[in-house]
Amino acid sequence: MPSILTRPIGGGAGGSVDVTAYSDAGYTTPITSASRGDTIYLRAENVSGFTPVTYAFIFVALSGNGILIYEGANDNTSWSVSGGVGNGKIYVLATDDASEPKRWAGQSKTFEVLGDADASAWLTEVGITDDATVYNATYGVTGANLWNYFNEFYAELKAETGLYEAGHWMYLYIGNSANIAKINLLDPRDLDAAFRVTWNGGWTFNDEGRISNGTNTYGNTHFNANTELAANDGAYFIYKRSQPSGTSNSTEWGAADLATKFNQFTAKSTLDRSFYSIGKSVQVDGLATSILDGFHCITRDNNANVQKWFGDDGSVINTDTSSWVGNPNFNEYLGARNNSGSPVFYLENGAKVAMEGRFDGLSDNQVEALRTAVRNLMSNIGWTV
Amino acid sequence: MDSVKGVFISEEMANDIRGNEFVAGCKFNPVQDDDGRWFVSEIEAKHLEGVGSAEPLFRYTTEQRVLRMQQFIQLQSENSAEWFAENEAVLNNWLTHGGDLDLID
Repeated sequence: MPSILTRPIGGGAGGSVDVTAYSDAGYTTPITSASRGDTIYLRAENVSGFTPVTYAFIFVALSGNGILIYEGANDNTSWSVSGGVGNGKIYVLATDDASEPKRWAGQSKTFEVLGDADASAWLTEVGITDDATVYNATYGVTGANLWNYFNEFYAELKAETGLYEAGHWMYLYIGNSANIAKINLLDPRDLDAAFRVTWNGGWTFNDEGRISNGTNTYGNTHFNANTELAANDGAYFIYKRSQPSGTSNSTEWGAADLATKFNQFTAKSTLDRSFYSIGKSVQVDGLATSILDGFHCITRDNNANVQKWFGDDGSVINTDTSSWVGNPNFNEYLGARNNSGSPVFYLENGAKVAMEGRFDGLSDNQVEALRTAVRNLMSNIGWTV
Repeated sequence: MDSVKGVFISEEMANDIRGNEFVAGCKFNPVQDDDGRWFVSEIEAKHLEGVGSAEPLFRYTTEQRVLRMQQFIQLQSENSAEWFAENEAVLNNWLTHGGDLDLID
């Protein structure tokens, strides 16, 4: 049987069909727009003149890209809205393939794909407008650019099963503002309970990202892994735009119960050492400087005995098999380690950080999807190392 | 000593400003250098009145920290040989790693 999609639209041996998009599975609320990532429900209706046995639902953006949503025997389907933001058309094609000559009909409705609702929520909260306002003059990034980049970024995160849902916080240091940098991409409420960062000390937020001073700069995420994460589980990633010098105990992120429990990432410390920990600190000696910037992710994926450190090229820098001992019962800091309530090991002077985030434990595939999405966002902004 | 600078303030001022926002979304964080003097960064100091200009901070090098710890050990061992015996391994580890004790498993 040839695909229904090979048939011409708009004629045939008579008959007609209509298509309607709904926001609910009960088909009670018709809609003409939805955000990327929303689930909507499409149904073929008002069939007359023939009895279709095969249906196809298609979305075609006015930019020209087409998406086959469904082809099969059902006269309805759901769709997780995707494609480029803007106007397009939803088509239904129906055919009675059961007999010859076949009869068929098609119909279309204008439909607008709105920006990803979660991306829009953060951009709106921090006041980045979808227009020509420049938010990074050095790299020529406008608000309209960021709205597009964010829709792409969120779509990439949501395309990997369970990745977006595993997130607790992400911060992007765009816009030269502590007030923008403090808002969690995954919960953009201006509240500590939403893991809004409290920045302390002489931070610089500029076109290069977030710059530490090595003496008193840190951020309190208000995120306590002891209460927020399950045992044997957790991940942290960073996109760093400078190489660590190794002249101080410069720590990117962390908290510690000084007895035993650490969550920490120190790309390079004195004596050419690196440290990482999801519930258990491990030391890695003598890593080449060339691999210590860009994307890095450490993860313990529901595993008491394995934690991994992934680097910018996607390879595993180190695998550690020491046992998880627990999460420190303190808020995690950025640009320092919270040592039982006090910031220590400040991130060194001049370190440039673009983005970082905290997730439940991530699988290898999820790390790779996160790495790809973050690196694409960095490339779009012009921040690739 | 390295070239990192700060603007020195009084302890009273440090206590007064700690935790107050100096720009939207960012709070003062006065800290002490290795000599016990209170300071803030130049960025924070721009929002304070009656403070001086930036000066180099006193910060021990790793070698200086090791020397201070050796002096400390000597002092303690003179006071209590038993204390020294109990902590010798821990302290030697600290010395070996150059002031990075908290990071060592």
